[in-house]
Amino acid sequence: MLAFDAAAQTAPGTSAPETGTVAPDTGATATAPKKVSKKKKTPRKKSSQKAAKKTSKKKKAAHALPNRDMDAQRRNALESLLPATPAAAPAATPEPAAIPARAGSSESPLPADLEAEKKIIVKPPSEPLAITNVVVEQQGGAPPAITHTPVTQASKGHSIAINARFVGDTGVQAATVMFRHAGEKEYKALAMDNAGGDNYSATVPGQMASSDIEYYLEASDRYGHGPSRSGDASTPYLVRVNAPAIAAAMTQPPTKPPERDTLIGIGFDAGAPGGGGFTLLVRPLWWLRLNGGIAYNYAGFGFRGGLSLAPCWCAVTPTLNLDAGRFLSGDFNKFASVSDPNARALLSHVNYTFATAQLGLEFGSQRWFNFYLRGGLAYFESSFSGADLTALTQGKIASDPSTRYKAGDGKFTSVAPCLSLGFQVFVY
Amino acid sequence: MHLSRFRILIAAGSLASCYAQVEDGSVQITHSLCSPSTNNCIPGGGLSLSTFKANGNNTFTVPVADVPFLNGSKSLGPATVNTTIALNNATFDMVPQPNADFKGLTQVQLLKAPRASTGPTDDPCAAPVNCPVLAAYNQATDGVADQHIVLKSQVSNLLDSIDQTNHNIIFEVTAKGTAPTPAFWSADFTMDLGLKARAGVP
Repeated sequence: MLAFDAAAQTAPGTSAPETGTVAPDTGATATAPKKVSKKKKTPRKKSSQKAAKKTSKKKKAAHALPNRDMDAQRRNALESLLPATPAAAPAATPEPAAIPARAGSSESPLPADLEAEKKIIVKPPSEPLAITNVVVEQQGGAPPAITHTPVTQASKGHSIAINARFVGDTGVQAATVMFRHAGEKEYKALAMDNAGGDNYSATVPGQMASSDIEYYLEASDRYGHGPSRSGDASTPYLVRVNAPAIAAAMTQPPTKPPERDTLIGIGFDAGAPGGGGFTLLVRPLWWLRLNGGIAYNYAGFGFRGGLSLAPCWCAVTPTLNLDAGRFLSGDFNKFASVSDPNARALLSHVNYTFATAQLGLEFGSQRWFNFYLRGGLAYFESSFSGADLTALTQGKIASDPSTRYKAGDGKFTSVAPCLSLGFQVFVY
Repeated sequence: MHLSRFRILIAAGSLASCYAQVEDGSVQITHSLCSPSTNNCIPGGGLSLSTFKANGNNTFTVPVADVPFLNGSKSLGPATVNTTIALNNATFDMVPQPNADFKGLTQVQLLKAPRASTGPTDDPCAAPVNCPVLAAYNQATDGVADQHIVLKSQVSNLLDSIDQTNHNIIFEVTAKGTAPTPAFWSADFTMDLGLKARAGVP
């Protein structure tokens, strides 16, 4: 630490900055007013001698000089600065050489106006004296280290919060998010605010979230080191801005699954062409449901099982549902008015296997109760007895006894749209 | 890809993949060349053969029945129905009697005749161009037949050979070689068919 004395006062407006930048003393004095500058380089001792010379040189002039208008305040200041020894003392020093012609003598000295001499010898500074302490610090440190989890998904029209942690020994300055729409050239700067400790955050306004956004982070320390970056202009992070529904499904982690998941439930549903069913539901994972139960399609009963994937627990939850089952022998004459007895016999014991893939929306609580609507595709496969087919065909040519039919087992397959609706209650 | 376009693709794909199909891989229609089947009505005697003259005619008729969707491709509401009837093979089974076999036959062809023959001298297939070959046997490649002879299919879809009004097929059988030894003999003719009808959307 350097301490400038009163003579080395810093010129107004040149005081060293708080950042600790060194302000050389010569530089500071160079800008001081001229009169003060001369005085400050003059040692006080010389000043006394010079004052003595001036005293003798200006003895006569002392009376001749017009009275100056010196205010009492300056006078007091000067008196406090001068040593107690009278300035005229050197004048009483005996001359070592031949006695020169002199006016007055030691025995009868000429009177001296001490107050007037003081006025001449020391001129107070035009500005108040100020002693400035300048702290000299060595520049050091490094740009802050950045820890950031990239934002990858956002909802269209909704603001995007970007958070990061900046850690540096020499502070953090100018933490900034540089962002642009994907495809644009120029980045826009968005200052990050301190969110407590080393955490900083910034929010990209919702109106900017109209299309995909690219961004990177940068920051310097308080000495200007850096900037350090997370991502950069050429390899920025990409935020996919999606339509609200998709974004909600993709970015919202699951509405926090309840503290205690319900594991077991029951479900009822009805649909076409799959019929209806009563199923037992088991949820081994919060996003996975298994079901199994009995099915009824008006023609008869069957059994079925399947699984549902629910990627979130939302008020409206999208689901993917895969089911399969088999209807046992059922009487399909309930669905058709057939008079041919062989055809009726064929339809009287139809069984089929099915598999469905459906997308659905479930409304309500995933934990307790919800109802749903599903749609998708169903695959059906049914077989027909060859004996029944033979009888059916033979009956059509009964008039020709020389021709006989023999049919193997027939197969019916179909892929058709399917719909279902139902509800689920989780009870445990 | 825009979501709307994605939805359209999904919907179109779903509809395009919708279908209903009925198939039966083996439907056998057996017809006795001589009626009743215990009669022997085809000249033999070891003579040279040109056609199987059953009941004195060069052709015989087999009813195929009015099976569903027999009319081939047609519209059914928004769906289009396509039907195929494949001839897997055709066979002749000798009605048993002493020394009755097909060992003397070197070549047999099953032809689709444009009309029924009216008598022993009326041959609708005199001009071969009128009678496509539906199935054939060649002793050199298929081996010597005994009392059961198999004719391999030569067509992919028999549907066009079926009369769409009365649902019959008229056949004529030409042969080379020597006829079975008995003076008259008989056989059962069997077509093994594969039937498939598929209704697709659109």
